[in-house]
Amino acid sequence: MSDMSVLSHEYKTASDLSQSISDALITLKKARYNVPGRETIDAEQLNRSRQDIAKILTALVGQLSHSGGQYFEGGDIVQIPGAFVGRLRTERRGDLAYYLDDLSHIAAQLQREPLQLSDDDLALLDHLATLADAEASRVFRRLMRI
Amino acid sequence: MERFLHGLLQDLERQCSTLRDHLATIATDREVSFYAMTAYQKVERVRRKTLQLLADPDLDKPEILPNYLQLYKRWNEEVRIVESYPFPFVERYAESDRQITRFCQRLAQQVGWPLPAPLVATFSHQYYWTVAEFNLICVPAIEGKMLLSQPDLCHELGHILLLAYKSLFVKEFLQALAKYIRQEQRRVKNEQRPSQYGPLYDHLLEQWTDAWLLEFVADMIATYLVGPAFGWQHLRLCMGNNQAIYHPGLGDTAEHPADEARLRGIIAVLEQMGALEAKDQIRDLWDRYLTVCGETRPPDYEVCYPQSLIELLARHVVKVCRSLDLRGFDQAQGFQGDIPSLLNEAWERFLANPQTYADWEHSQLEALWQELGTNQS
Repeated sequence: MSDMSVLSHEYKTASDLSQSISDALITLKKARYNVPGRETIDAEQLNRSRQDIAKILTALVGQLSHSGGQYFEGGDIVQIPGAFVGRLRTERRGDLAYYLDDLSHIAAQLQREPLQLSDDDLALLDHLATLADAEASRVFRRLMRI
Repeated sequence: MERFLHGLLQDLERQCSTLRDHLATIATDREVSFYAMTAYQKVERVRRKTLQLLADPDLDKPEILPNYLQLYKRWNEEVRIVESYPFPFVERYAESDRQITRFCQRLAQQVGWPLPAPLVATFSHQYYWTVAEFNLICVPAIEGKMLLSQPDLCHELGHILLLAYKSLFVKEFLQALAKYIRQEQRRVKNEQRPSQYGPLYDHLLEQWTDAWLLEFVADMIATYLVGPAFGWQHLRLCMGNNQAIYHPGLGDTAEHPADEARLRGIIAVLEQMGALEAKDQIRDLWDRYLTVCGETRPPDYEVCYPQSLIELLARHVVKVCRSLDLRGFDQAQGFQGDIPSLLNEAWERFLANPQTYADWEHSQLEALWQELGTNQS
């Protein structure tokens, strides 16, 4: 009945999204850059990260274009906070159609072999990670009344 | 920066250890041990992930640093949440909590609750709330034990059920909602609406998906479980606070949908389940309340809460609850000690004669606490 119940639910959605993007991006970056930790990533982990990000991007394209049917992939729910989508929509108001193309392009790239993500692709994914991080922090502060 | 993050991670690991050790030493009361263990496991998971990250050879790589920092924030938040919610629930569990927890367990058992019954605490200063992820509910110290307000406990149960079966409850509806917003946006494009409505519809969609849908579903699950008692309690709550009935409207931001729309959601479930007489009585009293308080419906209000969407959601929630084999109020047995029946009887008696109600409630609660094996009235 109080806002707490909804906020705790909202926080979980926002936090799960932020962690999914950050986790997957760390794996993708390790694979992309020649860093010592690259050897610790196995094929299964890399594949899972690619799938996770691709699902999020597909769901995001669906929500940004109000097509609704893209909220789910294979029966699973891909939860993206509406406030996150709203911020992105406001930010990309001038070039939303191009932005949707970019998101779809990266989602397709993630399914292809061999994995080829450009610096621009990674920068776009990093921006999503930053937005998801900001949204999770915003809801957390409201939940904890900080 | 890298060095500072390293220090923060070490600090987080230490805090996890401290919290975990506190949770481990809490007395093994059978009603709280499961919740203490859940919180323990959560903190221990964060601690292990933190240790793993501390050993990551790429922790100092500037290309990845922002993502490591994001993970640190989430883990730190998780620990703060365990410290703020599950920890005080289990550490301070008292006889008054046991009473209402057992009440909730009894209710859960009677309605065929498909999840473990939640732990309920009685120290809330924010009315009823839940942290569904941890299966915890908090209720006010006094009101939380009155029969008239117990339907609100069912609303919180609704949040917990929704989190566990989110896809089942919201998938179909979100598609209908997106379709509705598309239709409204088309009206803007066709110049049937001023262009400034475009962003308002986007905001409306955000409000529904992030917050209002959760509240409507929790209301509808509560109505499914206890029927008219939840409708009457909604009226009691509306009349007892000064929230505007039609707020939030188009362009407004709030975690809860408007009280008027919530009532329509409750009515839709009652109608769907055949409680037509009770539905009419609740609607009649509500209409009289609207006349007395004299609030007027703001422009575009109906756009926010279309009746067709509310009815669609009500039908769907009832269908999902039936598919989960939850016992609806329409299937209540009415036997002695049946809680949904007791809550409805309480409301019937209160409406019939508020003067004699208090004595009746007192005797019912005395008997109930005794039966549940708790020793405080």
